[in-house]
Amino acid sequence: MVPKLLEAENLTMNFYTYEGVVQALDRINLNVREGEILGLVGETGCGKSVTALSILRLIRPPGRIEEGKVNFRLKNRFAASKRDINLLDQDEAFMQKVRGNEISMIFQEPSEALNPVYSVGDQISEAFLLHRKEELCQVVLKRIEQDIKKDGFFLTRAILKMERGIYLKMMEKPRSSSLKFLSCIPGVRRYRRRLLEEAKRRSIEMLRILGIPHPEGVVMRYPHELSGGMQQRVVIAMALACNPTLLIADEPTSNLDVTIQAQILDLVRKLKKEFGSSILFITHDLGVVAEMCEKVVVMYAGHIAEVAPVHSLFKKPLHPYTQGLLKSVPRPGRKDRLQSIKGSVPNLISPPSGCRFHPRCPRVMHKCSDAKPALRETEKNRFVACYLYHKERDKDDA
Amino acid sequence: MLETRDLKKYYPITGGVFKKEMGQVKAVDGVSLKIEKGECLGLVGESGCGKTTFGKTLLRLFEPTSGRIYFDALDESKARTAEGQTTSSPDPKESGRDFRRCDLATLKGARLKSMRKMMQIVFQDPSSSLNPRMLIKDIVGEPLKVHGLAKGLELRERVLNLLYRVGLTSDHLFRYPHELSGGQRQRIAIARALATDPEFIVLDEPTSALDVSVQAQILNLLQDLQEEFGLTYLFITHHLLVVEYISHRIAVMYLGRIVEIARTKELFENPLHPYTRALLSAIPIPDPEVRKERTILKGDVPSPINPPSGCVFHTRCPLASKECEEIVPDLVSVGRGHYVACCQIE
Repeated sequence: MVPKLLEAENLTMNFYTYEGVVQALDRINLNVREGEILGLVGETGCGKSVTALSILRLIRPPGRIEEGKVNFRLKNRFAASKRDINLLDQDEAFMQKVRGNEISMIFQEPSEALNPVYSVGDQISEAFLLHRKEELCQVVLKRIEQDIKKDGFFLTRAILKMERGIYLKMMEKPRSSSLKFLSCIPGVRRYRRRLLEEAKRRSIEMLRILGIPHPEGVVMRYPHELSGGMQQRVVIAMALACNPTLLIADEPTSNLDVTIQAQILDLVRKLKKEFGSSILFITHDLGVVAEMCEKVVVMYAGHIAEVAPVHSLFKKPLHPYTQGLLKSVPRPGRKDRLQSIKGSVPNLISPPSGCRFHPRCPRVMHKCSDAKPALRETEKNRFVACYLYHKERDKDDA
Repeated sequence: MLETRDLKKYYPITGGVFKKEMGQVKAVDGVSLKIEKGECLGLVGESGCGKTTFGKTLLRLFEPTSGRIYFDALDESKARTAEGQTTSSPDPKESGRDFRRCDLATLKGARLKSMRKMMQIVFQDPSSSLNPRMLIKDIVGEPLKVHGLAKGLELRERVLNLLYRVGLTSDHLFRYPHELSGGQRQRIAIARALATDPEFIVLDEPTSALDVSVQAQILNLLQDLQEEFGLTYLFITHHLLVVEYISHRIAVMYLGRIVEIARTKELFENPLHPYTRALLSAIPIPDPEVRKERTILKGDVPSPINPPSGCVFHTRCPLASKECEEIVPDLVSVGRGHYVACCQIE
């Protein structure tokens, strides 16, 4: 079995609003294995995006993570050995090292995820400057050494030597206050140019991998000058800049046209092969899930309804909600009437008791409203949280 | 029932001190099509291809730059007597099938207003198309008041009837839009469109702001209403599976022009235009067993400010040749009601 990369246990999250406590996530269990694309499906407001934000600890007040664990397997990069770490126990400085470096995220709306006042190149470079400063410094130092060896005017050589000193200092102590002071003095500040150039060079390389024509020109542009598909590619470039082990894609294509969506999905699949990272793919489009994912988690109103491999999920959905969801999607070549799920998603301030789906469920039983059904394995690799299947198992046990 | 001939809508780009016209956005560039009575015509295309502009220009919510819009409506005097007898929609058969053809593009004033009763629109996002400061009963009743169709108790009764018809109850009368869910809001928007007993409704992406399970409810509702009242729909969407489900015929639009029109089944089984083929192959199908060959188009939609010469699609077309850059292809019939605009197809 492939080891687990990320494991969320009993993750609970609430929003404290004036109207009351919104119970956005209620004891969620979820795991992503290495090299896998896990799909997270559900309707609006069922807690998909909140799950992603909780994993990265990007929840802001009034939201609060109440309990649970998010175990993450760190790579060798900044830990001595591979080990699991509970992200919820770490301090903010540690999380900043994890975000964008180990786990990175592609946000839904590319035009909002990009800063309108910085050029695209600056924004991609930021990831390198934050997480790969040492590597950049090493490359820059090598280049300075080469320049010093060239015969030149003694003054230029002196300046180069000074720059070398600064970069060596930067390698030793990246956050030293004297460097901060130097970077404020006009003229002296020029030493930073080499570092920025190197970061820009890497950004261009990244954009080239993503299949953007003329990346040298694109890095100079501002987000509003690019089309939606291009903006999304830039966001993906930012996310992939540091080669993360886990990529969280939060509805990366839902604002794009079908032809552009096809381009982006194709790209994500290619990148997954190339970089070998795991992907947590959040979407509401079942078509995209069927195409992209290997395993699917179906969420409903802050609960997990079902976990299953894609093929068996689409062939034989177990949870009544999944069944309803699949029946309500129009399919090619079929004209029979769509079956919809009656009612609408409940308000999470006062969610229904027990199984949160029971007021809309066509196969509701008495005990559904009493207690939340546990997520149980019915077949190999298939988990479902519904009393319908508990009964079968209880019978088998008897 | 409705026919457009070479309909064009250009938006001027102004600049400078004197607001001089600097250029034009060719949003709809010569569209000719017919919509039959009682059918649902799907209009598909990527964002920015002019779908919504076309829909709004049809209803004269935008002034067309040039072209004609013919609308076969019931003769006004007859329609009025029919309305006097029954409150439900006047059946064309009873009133003697007296149709009058008028050119919407040139109508003005009171006559245009009287035509507006026949044509309604449902917008994409119900949360922004409903006035947040109006009660549901006022929202649904407003068209009735504006056209002077009902007042007082009768108005109230008709509003209630409309609410029941779209699956809401009298509880919703005295609420504000923000108290309702997305699906319910869209039902209100549909009820408002139905208020004046229209014959033709433009549905501008009515389900794209909704969740799948609610989307199915709304699609079913729209189908039921069409059967009940014999409505004619223009269903604008970018979601191909939805349009396949609900429409009888589909028109594919690219950069302000229609590239292909056919019956739904014909279009999906035998797409001829390379753009339609690419579009169809790009649909993610909700079934992991289906693995298909994709044609992935390169690049983005060109700007409608200076569209490519000749066939507008030639910059992205896999079949493009020299002549595509020069000749503007016309919509040609290939039989079975299938029309396509492409130089490469005989």
